[in-house]
Amino acid sequence: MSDSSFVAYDSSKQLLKLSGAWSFENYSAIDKSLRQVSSQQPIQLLDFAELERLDLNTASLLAELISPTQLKKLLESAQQLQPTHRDIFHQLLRAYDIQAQSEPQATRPWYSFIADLGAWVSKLGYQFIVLMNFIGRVSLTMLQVLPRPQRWRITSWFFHMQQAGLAAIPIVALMGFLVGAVVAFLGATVLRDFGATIYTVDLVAFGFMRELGVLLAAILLAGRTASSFTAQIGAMKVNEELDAMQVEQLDSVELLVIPRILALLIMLPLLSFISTIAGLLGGAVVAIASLDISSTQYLTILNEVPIRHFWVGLSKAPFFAVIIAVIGCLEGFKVTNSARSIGEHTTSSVVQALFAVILLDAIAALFFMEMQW
Amino acid sequence: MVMTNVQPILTLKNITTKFGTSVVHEALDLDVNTGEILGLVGGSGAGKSVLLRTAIGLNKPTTGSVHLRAKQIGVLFQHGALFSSMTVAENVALPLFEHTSLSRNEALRLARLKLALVGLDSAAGERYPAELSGGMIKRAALARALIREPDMVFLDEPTAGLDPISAAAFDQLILTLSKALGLTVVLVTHDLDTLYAICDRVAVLAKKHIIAIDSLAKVAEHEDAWIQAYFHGPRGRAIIEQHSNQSANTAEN
Repeated sequence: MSDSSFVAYDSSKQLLKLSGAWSFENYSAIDKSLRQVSSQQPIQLLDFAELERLDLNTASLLAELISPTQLKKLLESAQQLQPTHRDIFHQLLRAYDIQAQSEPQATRPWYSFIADLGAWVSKLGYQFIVLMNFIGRVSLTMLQVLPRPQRWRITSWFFHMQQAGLAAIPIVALMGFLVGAVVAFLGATVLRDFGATIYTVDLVAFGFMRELGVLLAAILLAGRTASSFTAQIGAMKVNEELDAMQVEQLDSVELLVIPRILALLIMLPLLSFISTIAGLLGGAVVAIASLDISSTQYLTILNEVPIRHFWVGLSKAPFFAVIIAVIGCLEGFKVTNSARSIGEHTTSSVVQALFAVILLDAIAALFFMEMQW
Repeated sequence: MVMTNVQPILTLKNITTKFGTSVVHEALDLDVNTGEILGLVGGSGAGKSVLLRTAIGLNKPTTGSVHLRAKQIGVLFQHGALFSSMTVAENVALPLFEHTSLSRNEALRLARLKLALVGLDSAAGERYPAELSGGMIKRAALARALIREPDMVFLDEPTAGLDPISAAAFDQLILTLSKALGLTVVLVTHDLDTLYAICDRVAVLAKKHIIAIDSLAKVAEHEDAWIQAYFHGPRGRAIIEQHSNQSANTAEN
């Protein structure tokens, strides 16, 4: 594959002679030999007598060298051009015409980041309005549906209770147990210096009843269930199922969102209870196994913890449930018509749900503290 | 253009394909000649797409052999299968990015040229697949199939979902490219117009194997009930009449 095998230039006739196989494997070699025939040299004639093969990619190299308009002119007087090669050049020139017709792309000025920042802020504001709007719509639909049991979607409701609740029990219990054990160890390490190892039990009990039990369950659901709601509804959106619902005058909020919210409303408090019990158990195992606290002692101290702490903790569960379900569903509705969009909104849904859960928990902690509950 | 002494570019021999207990193909034979446009027809669910996947190598037949002698193939999938995370131009240029030593700009230049060739301007090239219409996706996918100058392309329902005008333009594009570049084309279609307009031969897939393969006129004469219903049903008849009128007109002129 010597460089001279593809083109030869005859400067006396200003003739460019093409030869050999102009196929895509030789693209770089042809490009190189064309470059040697510098574009400064005038080309008035093309000779195709020894051209064996031609394809669109290699033909475009010639067009780039002498410009498409010039190529068009030269083709008319070209020597011994095979009909198939002429067809290729015609297709190529047609493509150049289409490219020439399209408008050039506007380039972005350097200060465009200011516009981007503005667009981002206004988008955030808009997202908040959309969320409020959606919560309003869900509340209204809920008010319409709840008094009419015949409009409850029992099957869907139970399905989501099973998916989001029952199926999550093992992982919630395990997480609660492990975190309970960790908190007990942590408490023991710190409290030992004060000779107050016994208060480890209180730490675990207060911690899990007021905060950790419900928080762990909510965080798990935010990751596990909000994402699955988004993906389910998003896939329906991509498949135009939501549009089909609208055309059939079915309310997508009533059919898709209400059952999911109701399912989480039931299951999150139950999961919180399981998580709390598992946490206390984890604490108990550590206390009994390595802190020399007997099981009776553990239960006695546990009994002395006022039950209202448990109710304070559990009272947050319905709020978490609603916000997780609402964010999960809303992000699903925001999906546009591509698979990529499902991924983006699933990520966004988990991040938002986690953030909302932790923000709500912080607000609730402040509120309960001020109320001295 | 009959080349009897040349080896077929694709040979499927004694292909049997099973999914679980359901048999899709049984003892199926098919030869595709170099440079021809072969239309593959068959009822919905007859296994046309599976056969295409078997020929490409995406699906391994239970028994039988596939000999593909093409150096480079291009595939147009039924729904385009453009990569959703890239712009259309990047989609088309991706095989060049990955398999050639061309610079990024050079690869994108060729990609934009191929897009223009299938009728997409550079503005469309900068968009993402999700922002394109079905017809534009088909065109972009064809550009991607052609970018490495294959000697054989497989098209799965290239004109499905296109309006008749776009479909006819797509047919003509495939025909001119095939003749100019010496491309071998295998296309699965339900579009009788495509069969009449561009196919050199038509293969009918029914009863788990190829029951007829020949020029369209001869296949349409086959006595099989399904073929009769397909080519001589109300839709088939209308198109046959239209095309025979056209050829009569050209003969007069």
